Amino acid sequence: MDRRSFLKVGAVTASSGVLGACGQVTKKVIPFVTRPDDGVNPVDGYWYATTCAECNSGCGVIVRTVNGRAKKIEGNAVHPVNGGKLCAKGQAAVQRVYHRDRLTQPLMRKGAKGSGKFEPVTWEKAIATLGEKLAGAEGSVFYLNSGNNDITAGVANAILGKMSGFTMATNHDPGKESQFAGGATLNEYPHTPYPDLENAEFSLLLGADIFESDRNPVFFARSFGASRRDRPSIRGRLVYCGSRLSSTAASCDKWFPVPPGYLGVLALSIAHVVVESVISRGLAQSIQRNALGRWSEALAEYAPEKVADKVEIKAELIRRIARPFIDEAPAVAIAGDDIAGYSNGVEGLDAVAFLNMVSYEIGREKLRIKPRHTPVSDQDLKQRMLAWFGLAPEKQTFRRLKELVDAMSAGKYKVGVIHHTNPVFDTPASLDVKTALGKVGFVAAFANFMDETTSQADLVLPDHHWLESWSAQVPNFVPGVPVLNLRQPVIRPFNDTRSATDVLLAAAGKAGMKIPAKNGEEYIRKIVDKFRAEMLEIDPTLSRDAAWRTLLSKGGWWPSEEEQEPSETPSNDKLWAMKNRLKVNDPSFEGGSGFPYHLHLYQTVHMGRGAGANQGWLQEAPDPITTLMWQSWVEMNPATASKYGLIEGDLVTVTSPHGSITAPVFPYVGIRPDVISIPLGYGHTEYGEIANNRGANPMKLIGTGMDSQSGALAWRSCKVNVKKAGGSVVMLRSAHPEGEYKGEIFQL
Amino acid sequence: MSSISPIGKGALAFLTIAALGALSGFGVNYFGPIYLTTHKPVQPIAYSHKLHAGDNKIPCQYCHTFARRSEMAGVPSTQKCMNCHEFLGANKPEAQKLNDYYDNDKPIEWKRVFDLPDHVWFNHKRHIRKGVKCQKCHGPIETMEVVYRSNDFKMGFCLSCHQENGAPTDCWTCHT
Repeated sequence: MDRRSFLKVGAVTASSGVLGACGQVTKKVIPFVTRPDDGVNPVDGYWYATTCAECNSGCGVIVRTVNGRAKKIEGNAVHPVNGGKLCAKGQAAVQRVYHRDRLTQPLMRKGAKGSGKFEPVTWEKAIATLGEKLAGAEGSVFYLNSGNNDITAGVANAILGKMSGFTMATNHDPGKESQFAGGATLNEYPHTPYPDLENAEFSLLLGADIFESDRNPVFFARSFGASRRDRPSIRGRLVYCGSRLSSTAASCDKWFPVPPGYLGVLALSIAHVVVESVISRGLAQSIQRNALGRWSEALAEYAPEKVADKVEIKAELIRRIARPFIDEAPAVAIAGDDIAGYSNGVEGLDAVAFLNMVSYEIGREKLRIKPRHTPVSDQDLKQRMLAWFGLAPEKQTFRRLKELVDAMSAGKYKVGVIHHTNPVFDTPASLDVKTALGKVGFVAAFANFMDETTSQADLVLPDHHWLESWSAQVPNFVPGVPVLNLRQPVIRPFNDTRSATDVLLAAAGKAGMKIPAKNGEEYIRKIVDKFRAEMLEIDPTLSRDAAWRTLLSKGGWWPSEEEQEPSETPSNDKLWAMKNRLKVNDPSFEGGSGFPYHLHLYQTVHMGRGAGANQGWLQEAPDPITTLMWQSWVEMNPATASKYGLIEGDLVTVTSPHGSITAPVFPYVGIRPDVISIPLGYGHTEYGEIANNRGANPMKLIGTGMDSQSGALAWRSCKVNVKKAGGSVVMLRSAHPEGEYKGEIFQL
Repeated sequence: MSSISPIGKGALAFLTIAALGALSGFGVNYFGPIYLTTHKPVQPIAYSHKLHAGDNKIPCQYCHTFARRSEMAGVPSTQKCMNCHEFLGANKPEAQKLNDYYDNDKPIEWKRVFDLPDHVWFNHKRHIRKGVKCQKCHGPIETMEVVYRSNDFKMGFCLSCHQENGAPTDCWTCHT
């Protein structure tokens, strides 16, 4: 080839390359078939109220739709749970609607069970198959969801609950389940004080990562803002105790690195100081004196001097932390994952509840505590609300899930229905849900995406995205007032998907079973009709349709601020007559002498348990503490890291009695030297290109140990060993880890 | 130039030609068919602006109702067409097509005639409110059987009008 022809070829190649890269310009204009309501402006769009389903918190949202497409999701300002705020997961939900990996049609298993090979089938065939299987599975059906308390669960219960041997189980977030169980164990006292962060002047967070992964991060973050800024002369003070400086801890005024599993002991020690102070000040009346004497005796072994070594806080400091609980100003202790995640979880939760009660009663006598909402976290209220959907108020814990999985392995179930949950990925690998699913006769999975669990199913039923479907839900964490969340389709379905509720109803109908309604919308309207009289917001003179529209435009039903009457103050006598255990045993840990480090798994605010790992927006969002993104990491104290000669990015193998994973090290000063910390949510293998093989899944490391009393997963009670794996990677990060000021310390 | 070796000259020529090639590729895209005044696509329905806007004198904004309200002029919904065609022209094949679209709940995928590159921001509302006639930019639409792109919509086209009328000519007025 001579030079001239070489240049010609070069020019053509270059220009065609550029042509290809530029892509196409918009070529079509597609108007509506039917014009939406008058006044719809194609650019400004419309805002519709609905309820977020990215987790189970049940935040109200408003969605901007332009030309029939969802463009922006924001918090619903009138909603009692989130009050107009929204987290990153909620904001990113639109990306899931238009995601390229979305399931677009029903799939039937083609290859061997669990092979992940599917072929498309029609909806008619899918529904007929499901109906056939359900009808022939009398006595051996299970329904597994994420504990989202929505109408799909209600419908499943209504249809399948009539069969003998029907099992309903949930795959809760670890930590949360024990939180819910915790409040209910104190049977002798009617209510546990509501963690009213907003109105407290002092908040003691005992391992409670409430701004990132606890009951409802948005609710608590909002309360935190209010406690800091909304009161003219008061700035709420917060102290965090726990083994890792989480992003919640970083928002507090002080952090005490308490050894894992001893926060309950600390709570009782503080309670001891409070009780002793009440006795010494002679505040108590006669009936109370008996109780106080009894408590003082029970708490004697938790005197600050005696537990200072255990909790690694000086006795004098414990007394100082206790002072706000004795003083007049409202103080609250909030228990979280770092209490609940151990073998003594419930004991710890009880200890914190006790501390709050005693402190509350002291404060109440002085009429200083004035919470905005009902000052109690009312378990009865939640159960009443669940009953709206026909859901049994059973405690759904990890123990129940484990029993289900064991029964599955034993071949007890003919049919299983899985609704938007991924237990193969996000439960401990030692539970081995994958193998168990293989022994179930027929598994149907409702999902938006193919994932580790859906790929094990026999029939994959692509559900609508929550922006496309009808639903109703009870928030998982009740904000002190009854709330019925409604979900309405704000856009037309983007793919050939169908709502899970409708499919269940259609399948059961086809199989000749008795169904409570024709479709999801009708089922919700029936619920609304039933409670019409109770729904204070609704003008009784409105017609059925007008009332329905009023509810939809608001996003659900809850009493308005004025109608939220303060509930009756919990009875004094009950507290003083209470005979609580007041004992927190030392935690027990898995792994012997060969495993020197505590494993501290946690959820970041955007990744959670990993459902958002296939969303580029969430992968790109930097972790608030480390600013790392697109990967998982192993946090180690720099002192621990240097012992192994590890620097940032060096690969390290973390081994537990149950398994091992390899990931890069991130030295972090905000962690105890005896603790290794790994975020959840990474390390998917069958969740699409964006999520797959990105980081490692630490659920491989933990066992299925439980808190024996509550049955909650003791997910932080595992010990591990680390070993340099050799090699290193570049850690993708958005900023300097110590912030703009690069670690300069500012004294304010 | 004598200091440049023959190989260097070759490389230089290659780079120049490659750059020209790249530019032409860019050009074809940004000034491609849709940006040429000859752009006159065949539409899914042979809709005649001459018949509707010219002979029957239907005002532009009867159909393009968003022009005065938003950035985009908007194309009418099929339902809007049916306001009249429910009763008119049922025996004509093109109107029959319209009926089929509507009955099958299927949107009509019109081919785009007028478009501006992504780096230009244009707002219909402002121009309509100022009283600029549609024809000023879109040409004699009411005489067109098939709509074609009657102007090149290059920057000079916008600027000359902006200058005549004392409209802002700052860069960020349009490149925002």
